[in-house]
Amino acid sequence: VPARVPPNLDDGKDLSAAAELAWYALAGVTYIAAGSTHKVLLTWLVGPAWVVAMLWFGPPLADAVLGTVRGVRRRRPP
Amino acid sequence: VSWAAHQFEVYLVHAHLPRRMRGGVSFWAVAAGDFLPDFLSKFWVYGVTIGGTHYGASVPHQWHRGWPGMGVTHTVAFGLAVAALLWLWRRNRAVTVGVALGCVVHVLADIGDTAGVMLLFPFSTASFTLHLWAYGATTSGGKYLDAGAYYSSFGVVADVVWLIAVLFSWRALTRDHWRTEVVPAEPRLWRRLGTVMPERALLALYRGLFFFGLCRMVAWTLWARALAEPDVVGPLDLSVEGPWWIEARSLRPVPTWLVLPVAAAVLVAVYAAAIALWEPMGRAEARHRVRRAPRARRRSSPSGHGP
Repeated sequence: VPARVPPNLDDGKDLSAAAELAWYALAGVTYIAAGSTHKVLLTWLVGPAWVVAMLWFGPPLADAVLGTVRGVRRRRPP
Repeated sequence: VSWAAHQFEVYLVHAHLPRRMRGGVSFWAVAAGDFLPDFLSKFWVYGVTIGGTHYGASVPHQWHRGWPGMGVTHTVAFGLAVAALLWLWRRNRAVTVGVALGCVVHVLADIGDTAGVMLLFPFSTASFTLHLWAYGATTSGGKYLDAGAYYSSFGVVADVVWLIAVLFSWRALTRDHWRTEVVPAEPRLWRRLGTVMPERALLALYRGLFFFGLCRMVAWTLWARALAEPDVVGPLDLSVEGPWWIEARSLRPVPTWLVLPVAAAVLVAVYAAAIALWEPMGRAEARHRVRRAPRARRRSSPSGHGP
């Protein structure tokens, strides 16, 4: 019987501690703001999904947006 | 009714597992065991109104915590029975022990409100309660009044105490704890999830219940204390059985001095049983896996007849 070997899930795409904290804080502030006005969002399904979505899609989206902004700035004539 | 406490306690259970169980108890099983009592009983507590007709429990606190009613879901016996059935079905100690601990801790956390829980069911239907805050679910008020009453009473203090307890066990929220004690207990599940999600999203998924508990605590408190109309939610009242503006419903309570010793004894007994059964369950699970291995190999071979 094969032993249960824990998988190595380290994908080398870790955020820095500060960036990670900032993303969690952003997720928290937006969820609290949305939840206190739309209480239907305050469920055990939406809450965890909110933070997962924020941490999953937030950093690459921010990178893409910042990359585009920087690219536009670089292309701008002096 | 406890609110965010039920999210925080999942991390506390997993952070303070007995030494021999570390890395072996499923986090999601603890969470499922913790959610199960309210998942089975709470929908009907608030009920639903369709076309002006309310469908739901006529006496919510009796339905939620009493007998006859779904109060049986808030008993230690129920948690152990569900765990026993899971064991007979799957022979998986990581899940069995996780569900049992999650369910029992949920039950014990609910001794704070006036309705309490039937700790000694089926031997007794007496309610064990500390009378710290009023049970606030009513047929007319629904979830909002329940939340408003809870976050205007000692309940909010209870949530903060649970939060502080998790913060004292902050290692339970770290990447290191997740990698060394959460993932090894459910390697297949995390491996599957890891094929579609980056590690930071997997970690967020693990921390998701804590995030939800913290945010719902802040959001409901903000709503109850600042945003709700004063005629819906009354003032803050941290007195015993508060808030005064809602009737504190109860069910044949035992003397209050008896509650904490019995609750502590139940908790110790459940943990002692889990520790005593851990190794025998491991051996039984290994035997079960050996018996199942040829069948699994046959199923996975292309001809269906094995190698």
